[in-house]
Amino acid sequence: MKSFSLLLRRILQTSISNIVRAPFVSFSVVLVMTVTLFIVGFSFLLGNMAQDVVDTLQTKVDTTVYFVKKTPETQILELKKKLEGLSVVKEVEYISQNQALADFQKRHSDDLDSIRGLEILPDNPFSARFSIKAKDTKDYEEIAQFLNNEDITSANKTTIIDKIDYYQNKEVINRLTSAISTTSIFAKLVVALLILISCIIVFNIIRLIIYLSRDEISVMNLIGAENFYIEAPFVVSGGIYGAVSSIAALIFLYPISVWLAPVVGRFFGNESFSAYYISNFLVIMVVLIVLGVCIGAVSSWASTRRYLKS
Amino acid sequence: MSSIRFEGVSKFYEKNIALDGVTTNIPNGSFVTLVGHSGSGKSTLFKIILGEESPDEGIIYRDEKPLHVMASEELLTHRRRTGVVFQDFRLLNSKTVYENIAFAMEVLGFDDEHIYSDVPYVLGLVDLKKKMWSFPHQLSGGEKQRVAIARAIVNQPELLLADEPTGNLDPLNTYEVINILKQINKLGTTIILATHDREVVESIGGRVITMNSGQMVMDDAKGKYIL
Repeated sequence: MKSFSLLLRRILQTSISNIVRAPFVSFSVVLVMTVTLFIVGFSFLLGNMAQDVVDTLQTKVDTTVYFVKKTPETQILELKKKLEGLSVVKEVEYISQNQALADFQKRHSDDLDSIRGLEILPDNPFSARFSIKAKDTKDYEEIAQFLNNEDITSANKTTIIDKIDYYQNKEVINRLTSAISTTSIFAKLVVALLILISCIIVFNIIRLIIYLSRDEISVMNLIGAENFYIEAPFVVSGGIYGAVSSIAALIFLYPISVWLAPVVGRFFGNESFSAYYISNFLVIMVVLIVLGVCIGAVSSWASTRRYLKS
Repeated sequence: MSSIRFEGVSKFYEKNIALDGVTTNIPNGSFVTLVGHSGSGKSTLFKIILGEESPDEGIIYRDEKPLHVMASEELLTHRRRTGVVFQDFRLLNSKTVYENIAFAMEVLGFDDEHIYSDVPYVLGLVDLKKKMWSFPHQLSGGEKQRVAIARAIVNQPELLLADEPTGNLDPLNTYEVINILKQINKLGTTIILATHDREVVESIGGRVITMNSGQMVMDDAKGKYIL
């Protein structure tokens, strides 16, 4: 009786001999798949890089809340606690009056005029402040509204907040939020579209290959072969085409990333395209190989089934 | 050993009648020749026996079991117990002669040892041992037909269907193929051979069924036919 290992070995042998015995066809399939997977890998890489730049940009946006001088620190820390409890807040950094002064002195240590000017003043001219980072740039409005709530910010009917710079930067933040969101959606759409087009191209080239074997499939059926025994070698061959093409695409991606590094660098700041490729190689490799193998195998399976009789 | 029985079997393709109420019995171990011109229904009859097509009317029995009630697994078994030889050979062109025959054995789950011993043996029977590693496109028509016969008999089928097996062969190859089929029949295999070649019919002798426009117009045990 047919054991599983024997079945597996025969399927693998048939798959490999199908590939080797039709070298021109195999080369054509691998070539088309390599080009499409290269495009997928390239757009995936660019899309991820754009997303990373957008994420970095988002972390650079914050809003500052300045407190009225001489506000008791306990009240400020109580507000900090409340702010940190908000789901939209990522981080609240408290800079005390003394810390603000020390920071200024450190920053202007070479500027003697500024330091002397500070010494003339009777007391510390800096206010205590919060530097608040939201989880998303669109959440700053909600944080500002929260801070404007009198019940939260007032003690003894005195306002402890002097200024919220969100209102000065509102227009810029809103434009940035809109740009980030548009860029992100656009990048994802482009990547998805390219993946879809690649899948269609690969599906059709494999369908063509299976079409050439349709007579053999019908003969195998007439001899009494089970559908699984007929389609499995085609599915494995499809998977092998996908794996080989993914590896080829990964190899070609490196020199191209080096070549395009200056152009891409102009769009994404100082980030090196090739360095980004190397540092994310593992993720891209897994994505391309899984995608290549899946497209190859699924396309072969679907195409073979067309010619199998139930 | 295997018997085939038709009971009022009809098949229509749109308005054309391919088979019209065919009723006959083909007992175990017999050699029956189906005679008729192209379009007389011979190939349709074979397709129905193989379960490639279903009859629109009537029932066909294999060893008294109706084909139409067979589950897909039973239908596979039925096909595996049936050897088929076609006029156009229908070999697997991407496989060598050896692999073509081995494939029929692999389908039945034979292990490698059996395949290594049986394939050369059966190729010896059709005198093609030397061409074992050739591909079908490297063979002549007669050689291809002998490969098809070897593939059909390697699993010692109980029933062998031969659809115009000599249609593409010269007289010498035709004679060889008919001889091989006679030998197989002597070993107990039921054979149904379709042809429109008078010389082939006469060289086989025995029972001949004449078909015309999908109907059985004559069934003669002594070899009489109308063509």
